Amino acid sequence: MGNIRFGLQRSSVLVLLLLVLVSSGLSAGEAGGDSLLPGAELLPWWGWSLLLFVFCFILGIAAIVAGVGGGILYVPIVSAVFPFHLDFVRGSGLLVALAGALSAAPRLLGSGMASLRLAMPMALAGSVGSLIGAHVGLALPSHVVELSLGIVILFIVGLMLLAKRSDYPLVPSASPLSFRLGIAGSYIDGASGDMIHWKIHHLIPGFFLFFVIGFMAGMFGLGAGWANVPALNLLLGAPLKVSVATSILIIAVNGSAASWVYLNQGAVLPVIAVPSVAGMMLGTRIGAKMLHRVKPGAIRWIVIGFLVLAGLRSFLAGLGVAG
Amino acid sequence: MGLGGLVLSLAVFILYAAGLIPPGVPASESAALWSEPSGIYLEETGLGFTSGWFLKPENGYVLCTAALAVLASTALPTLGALAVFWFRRRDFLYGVVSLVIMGVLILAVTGT
Repeated sequence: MGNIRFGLQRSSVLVLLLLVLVSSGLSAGEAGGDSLLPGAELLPWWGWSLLLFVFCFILGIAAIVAGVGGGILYVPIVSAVFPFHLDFVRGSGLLVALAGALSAAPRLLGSGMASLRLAMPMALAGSVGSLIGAHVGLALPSHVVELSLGIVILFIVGLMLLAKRSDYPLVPSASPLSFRLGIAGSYIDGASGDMIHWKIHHLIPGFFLFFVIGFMAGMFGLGAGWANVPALNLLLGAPLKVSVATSILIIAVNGSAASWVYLNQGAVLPVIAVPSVAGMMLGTRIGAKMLHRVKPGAIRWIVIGFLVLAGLRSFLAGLGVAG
Repeated sequence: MGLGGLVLSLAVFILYAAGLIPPGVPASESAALWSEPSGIYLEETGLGFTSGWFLKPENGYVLCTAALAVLASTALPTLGALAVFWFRRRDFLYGVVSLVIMGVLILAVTGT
C-alpha cells in the first residue's frame, strides 16, 4: 500500500512536471490571441486537438486534487499556452465548467447536500448576469477582456489564499425573506455523524452578488465556483458542504445561459470544445479516484502558481506589453 | 442528458474529424483561423449562425456545434420538471422562479 501511494504521488508530480514542460515550451511566443507557438504550423490540427485533450485531462486531475474548479483553470491556462483566440477559449471554458457541473449535480442532489431552494433564486440572478456578461464580453475589444481577465485571475488567487471558510457559519436568525421562502435545511455530517441544521441570512445582498458573479462568469468564460462558494458560505451563512454542493447546481444553470450566447455567435469551435470537455471530464473522474491517495498541498501550490503566471500574462497582454 | 450530450458531441466530432460527413468547414480550415477573433472567423469561413441554426445542421461543422448545444441545454428539461414539481406542491413562487429561469435560457437559445 505504501509503494502504491508513493507511486501515485510520484505520478502526480510527474504529471505536473509534464504540464510545466508543455506550458513553458508552448508559451514562448506572443500573447493576446496570436499564435503562441514557434513552429505551430508543424503540428496538424488534430495534433493540437490531441494535445489539448491531454492537457485538459491533466488539468482535470490537478483541479480535483488541488481543490480548485476546472472551470477556473481552463480559460487562463489554455489561453496562455495554446494558439487559440480568447473568444474560442471562453466559449469552450463555459462548456467545460458546465459539463463538470452536470456530471456532479445528480450525485450531489441525491446526497442531500445541495439545496434547490437556495440554488433557485441565486441561479435566477446568476443566469441573467451571465447572459448579459457573455454579450458584453464578446462585444468588448480583446485587449480589454485580456486586461480584465488578468485582474480577475489575480483577484481569484488572492481570494483562494486569503478567504476564510467556515464549516458551520453562525447565523443568529434567518432573514425574514429566507424564512418566508423556506430556505433552510438539515443533513447528517458524514465525518461526525451529527445532524446539522442550517439557515441563511443576507439573502437580498446575496441575490445581487450572484448577478455580479454570473456576469463575470459569462464575460470571461469561467466557472463560478470560486465566487459562489464564498458567497454562499461567508455572506449567506450556509455550511461549507452545502455551499459547495449548491454552487454546482447554480453553475449548471448559469453555464447554460452563457454558453448559448457563445454558441449563437459562433465562438465555440468543435475542434477546441470537444477535446477540452472530454479531457477535462475524464481528468476530473480520475482525479476524484486519486484524491484520497494524493496529498493536495504541493499540487495546490503549483496550480496556484500557474494561475498567477497566467493572470500576469493576460494582464500584460491586455496592456500590450506581452508579445 | 449531460452525459448524453457529451457522448453525442464526441460521436459527431469523430465523424466530422474523420471526414465521414460533409464538413462544411473542414477541421484544418477551422484550425487555420482559430487564432482570429470570432467575428473574423465567421467572415472568413462564411458561417452564419442565424436564428434556429441548430435545427438545420446542414454540414458536419454545424452538426458538431449543435451536439454541443445539446450539452448546453441540459438544464432546460430539468427546470421544466422542477416547475411541474413545485406547482404540484402548490409552491407557486418556486414554480414561477423555475419558469423565469427557463425563460432566461430560452432567451439565450433564441439569441435575443
